[in-house]
Amino acid sequence: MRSLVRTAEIDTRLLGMLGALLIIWVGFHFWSGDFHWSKGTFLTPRNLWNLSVQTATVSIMATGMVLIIVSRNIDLSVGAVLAAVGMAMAVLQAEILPRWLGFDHWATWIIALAIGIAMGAAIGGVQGFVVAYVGVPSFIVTLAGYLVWRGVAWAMASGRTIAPMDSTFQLIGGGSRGNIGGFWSWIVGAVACLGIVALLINSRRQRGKFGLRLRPLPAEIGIGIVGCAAVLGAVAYLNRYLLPERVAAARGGGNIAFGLAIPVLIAIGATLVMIFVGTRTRFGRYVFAIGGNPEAATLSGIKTRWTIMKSFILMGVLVAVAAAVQIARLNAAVSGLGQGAELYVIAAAVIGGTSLSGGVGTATGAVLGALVMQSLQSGMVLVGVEAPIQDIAVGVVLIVAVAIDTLVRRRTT
Amino acid sequence: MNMRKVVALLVVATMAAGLAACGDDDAGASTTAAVTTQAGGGEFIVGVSWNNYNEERWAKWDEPDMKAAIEAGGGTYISTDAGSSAEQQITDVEQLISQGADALIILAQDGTAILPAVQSALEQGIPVIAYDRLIEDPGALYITFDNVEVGRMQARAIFDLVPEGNYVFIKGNSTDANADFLRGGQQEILQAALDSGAIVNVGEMYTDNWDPAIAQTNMEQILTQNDNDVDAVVASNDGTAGGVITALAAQGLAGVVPVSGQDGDAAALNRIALGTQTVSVWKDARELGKKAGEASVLLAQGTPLSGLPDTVQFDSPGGNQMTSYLLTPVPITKDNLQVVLDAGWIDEATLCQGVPAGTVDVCGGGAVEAFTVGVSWNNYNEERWAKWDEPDMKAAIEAGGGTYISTDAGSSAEQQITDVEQLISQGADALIILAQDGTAILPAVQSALEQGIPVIAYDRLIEDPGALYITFDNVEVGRMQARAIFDLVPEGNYVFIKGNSTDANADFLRGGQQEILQAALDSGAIVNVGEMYTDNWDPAIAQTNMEQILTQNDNDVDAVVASNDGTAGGVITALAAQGLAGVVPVSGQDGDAAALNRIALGTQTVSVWKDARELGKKAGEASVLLAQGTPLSGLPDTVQFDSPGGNQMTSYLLTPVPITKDNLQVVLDAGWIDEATLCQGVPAGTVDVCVG
Repeated sequence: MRSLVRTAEIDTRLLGMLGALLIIWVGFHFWSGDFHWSKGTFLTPRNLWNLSVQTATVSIMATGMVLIIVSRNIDLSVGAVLAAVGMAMAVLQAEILPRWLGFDHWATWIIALAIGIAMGAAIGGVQGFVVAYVGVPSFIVTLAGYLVWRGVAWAMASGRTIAPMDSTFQLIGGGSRGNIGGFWSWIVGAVACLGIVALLINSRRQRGKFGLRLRPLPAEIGIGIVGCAAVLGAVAYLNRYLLPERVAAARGGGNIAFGLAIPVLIAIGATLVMIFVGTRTRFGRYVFAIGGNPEAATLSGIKTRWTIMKSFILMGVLVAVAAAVQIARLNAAVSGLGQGAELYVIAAAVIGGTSLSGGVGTATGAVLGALVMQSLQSGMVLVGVEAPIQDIAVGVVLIVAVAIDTLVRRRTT
Repeated sequence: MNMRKVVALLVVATMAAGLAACGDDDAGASTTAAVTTQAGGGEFIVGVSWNNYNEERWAKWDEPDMKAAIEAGGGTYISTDAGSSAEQQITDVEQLISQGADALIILAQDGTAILPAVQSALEQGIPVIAYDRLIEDPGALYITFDNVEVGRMQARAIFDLVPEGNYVFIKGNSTDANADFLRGGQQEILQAALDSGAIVNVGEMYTDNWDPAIAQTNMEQILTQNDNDVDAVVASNDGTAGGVITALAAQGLAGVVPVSGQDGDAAALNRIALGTQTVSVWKDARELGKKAGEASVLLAQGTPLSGLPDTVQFDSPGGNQMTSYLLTPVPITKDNLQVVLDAGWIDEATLCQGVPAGTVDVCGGGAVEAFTVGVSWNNYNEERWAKWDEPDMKAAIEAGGGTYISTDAGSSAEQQITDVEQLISQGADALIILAQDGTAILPAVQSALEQGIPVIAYDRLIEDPGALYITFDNVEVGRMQARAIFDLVPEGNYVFIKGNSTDANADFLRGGQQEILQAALDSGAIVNVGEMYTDNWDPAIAQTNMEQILTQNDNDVDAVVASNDGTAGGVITALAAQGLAGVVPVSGQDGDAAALNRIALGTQTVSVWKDARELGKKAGEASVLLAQGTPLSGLPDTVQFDSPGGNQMTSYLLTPVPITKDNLQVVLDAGWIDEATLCQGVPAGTVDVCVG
C-alpha cells in the first residue's frame, strides 16, 4: 500500500486529513441519527451544503494566512479587519450610497465591494509596511491592528447593527437566492473535471520534456478518474438539496436544486488563485524562499521587504472578500463581526499543515483544515453539544492534529 | 521541527490571543479617564461613575433623565468616566467621594473589582446605587430592568401565536448570567405547555459572545436536524434573532416562524415592521436613569435603603439579598411600533425601510416611486426657515419617499425666478415657494403649472388659483387675540393697535378681532376708544401711539388688542410709564422670547404662537401628495380662501396656539424657548413653569 502511494506520488499528509475528515463525518452522521445510519443528518446533501457555506469565510482567509505564516509572520488582526471592512461596506450600501443612488441601485454592490477591497488592501499595506520596512514584528503590528480596527468598526456606526444589505450584494453570501442552480453546477463540475485532466496531461508533458521521472500511466489515469469522479459526485450529491417548498413555490414550484452557493464558488476561486500564486508565481516562490531561509533569500537578491508587504496586502484583500461574504450571509453588519476569526483562521492553516517556523504550507491544506474545524462545530450543534464543550473539542483537535503531524514528520525525516 | 518547538509556539499563540482579547476592554483606559463637574446650586451632590461614557447609550439615553431627576430634587450632578478600566473606576469613586458626593451611582465595569471602593463608601455613610450592573454588596441599592420578566415577555409573545409545536431556544453567551435569567423567564411561561407535551423543545443552544453569525449557523444546523419542522424560535436578543431570521429566510421560513428578541435594535424594529420578527422587548434606558436619579435624591437626603418606597428583594447569583428596583420593559410588536417612534428611539425612515405601504400602520408612506420636491426659499439667512420650517418639511418629504432639494434667492425677486427654473430643470416633481414678491414670481409659477408641476405658496400668498396656499389662519389669530382679552375684560374701554397699514395681514387680524367683539361693541358693553395702524409694525411707533391714546383718555383704558408681540411691547412700555403694566390686558402674536417672558411676568396676556414646524410639515406632506399626482381638489381637508386679489385659493389655513400664563409649558416642551429666557426676572412661585 505504502509503495503504491509513493509511486503514484500522492501527498500522504493530504490523504491523512481526508481520512480524518471522513471519520468525523461518518461519526457525526451516526451520532446525529441516534446511532442509526438511516436517521443521520450529517451526510445529507443539505448539511453538506450548509457546511460548504459555513466554511467559506474562514477558508478564504486561511489561504492568505498560509503565505503570511510561511514567511515567518503572523496576522492577528484578520477578525478586526474583517469587522472594519465589513462595517464600511455595510454603512456604504445601507446608508451612504442610497442617498445618491436610491435603495437597491444596480451599481451599489459593485461600489461597496470595490471600496471594501481597496480598504482591505490599504489596511494590509499599512500593516505590511510597518512589518517589512520599519521592522516591527508582525505579532506586535497585527496585535495593535486587532485593537485599532475593532475600534474603527465600532466607531463607524457607534456600535449599531447595520442592516439590511443591498439585495444584489446579498447574493455574495448565499441564502436561498445566492446560488447557481443545478444546471450551472453541472457545468462548473464538468469544467473542473476537464481542468484536472488538462493539468495532468500538461504536467506529464512537461516532465517528459525535462526528462524527469514519470508516474506510471495507470496511476496517472487512476488519479484523473478519481479526481473527476470526486468532483462530479460532489456536484451530483449537492444537487439533491432542493429549494424548500415555500421558496420553490415562489419561483413557480417543482423540484429546483440549490446548486453550488456563490460564497462557495468565491472560496473555491480564491483557493485556486492562491494555489497558483503560491506554486506558480515568482512572488509565491519568493515567499517560500524567505520562510525557508530569510538570509539566503536576501543574499540571493530577493526583495524580501517588498515581498512581505505584498503578502500582507494580499491578506487584506482576502479578508475584504471574506467580510463581504460574511455581511452578505448575515444580511447585517455588527461591530462584533468576526470576533475570534483570527484564531480559527490561524488554526485552519496550522491544522492544514502550515508550519509556524516558516517555509511550509499549502492553500489546499488550509482549506481542509477549515473544513475539519467547521465539520466539528456544525456536527456538534447538530447533536446538541453546547458552545463551551464545542470549544474544548476544537481546542483538543487543534493540539492532536498538530501533534500527529509533528510525530509523522519526525519519523519520515 | 521538534515537539518542544511546536508546543512553545502554540503556547505563545494562545497567550497572544488571550492578551489581545483582554486588551480590547482596556483600550484607552488611561487616556479617556476624565472628570467632569457641572456647577449647580443644590444642597447635596450625587456622584455618578460611568464605566465607559464613550458608549452612545449612556450620554444619549441614560444620563439626561438621571441628571434632570437629581437637579429637580435640588441636587448637583457630578460624574466621572473610567474609560472601561476597572482600576480607573476605583480611583474615580474615591475622587467623587473627595469631591463631596452625598450619594453614588455606579455603573460598574467589574462588579467584583469595585467592591472594596463600594464598601469603603458605605462605611463612610455614603449610599451606593448599583446602576444596571450588579455589585454584590447588600448595602447597595440595585437598579436594573427585570431580565426574568424580559424572558417571560419573549415567551408570552411567541406562545400567544404558537400554543403548540416545536420550539427552538437560542440563548445568549454561556458565561453571561443574564442569558440564564432570560432563559428562566422563558421557561416559567412555557413550563406547563412543555410538561403537557403541547410544545416540544427541539433545539437549544448558547450563542458565543451573543454573536449573530454563530446564532445563524446554530439555527441552520437545528433546521437541518429537524428537517425544517420548527414552529417557533425564542431568541434571547435582537442580534441572535437577526441570525436566526437569516437562517429561516434561506429556507423560506422568515415571517412564517415567529421569532422573539430583545433590545429594540433598529434592525430588529425594521424586521418587526417587515413581519419577519415577532417581538423585541425594549428597555427604555431613560426610565432607568430617572429611577436612579430619584432614588439617589432620597438616599442623599438620608433615607435608609429600607425606607425607599416600592423596592423589591432580589436574590443575587452571589447569594445576597439585594434591595432593588427591577423596572419593567416594554414588548414591542407590530401593533405598538408607535411607542418607539414617539420616544424618538428610531426614525420612521429607518423603521419602515422596505416595508410595503399599508402593511403596518406606522409605515404609511411605504414604498412609493422616487420623486423630488424643490423648495425655493426667499432668504435662507433668516434663522426661522432653517431652524423651524425646514427640518419638519424635509422630514415629511423624506418620510413620504421623496428627495428634498432647495435654493436660496437671497432676498432677490429676480434670483428667485431663476431658482424656480433651476429646481424644475433638476427634476422637481413639486415646488414649494416662499415668495420674495408674490407678484414678480407669478410668471415662473404659471410656467411650472403649465408643465404639470404643482406649486405650493408657502406662508406668503401667490395670486394664482392653480397653486396651493399654506399659511396660518390670520383671521383666526385675530379672533384668538380678541377672545383672550374679552374673557378678562367683558366690558370697558378697548384700544386697537394694528399692524402696518399696507400689509393685508394687518386687516385680516383686525377682521378676526372684530368678529369676536362685534356684539359687545354693538351692545355698548365695550367701547373703542382708540385705533391705530403701526407703521412697519414698529414697536417705538406703537409706544408713541399708545402714549397719545392714554393721554387722550386720561388713562381710562381697560384693554389693548395689539396685533403682534412687537407692538405689544411698545404698548406695555407706555402702560408701565403710567403704572398700568400688568393691570391692563394686552394681546400679541408670534411667540417672541420677550413677549413670552412678559407673559410669565404678567404684563402681557396672550401671544398667539404659530408653530412654524407645523407649517413646514404640512407643506412637506402636501408636496408628497401633489408630487405623486394628487390633484389640488383631491387633497384632504383643504379650505377655499378668498384672496385680496379676488382669487379662490385652495388652501390649508393652520390653526395657531394662543399662549397664556397657563400653557407656557407648550413653548418650553417644543424647545421654542429655554426656561432661563422665559423665566428671567420672574419671582419664584408666580408661574408654574418658573420654579426658580
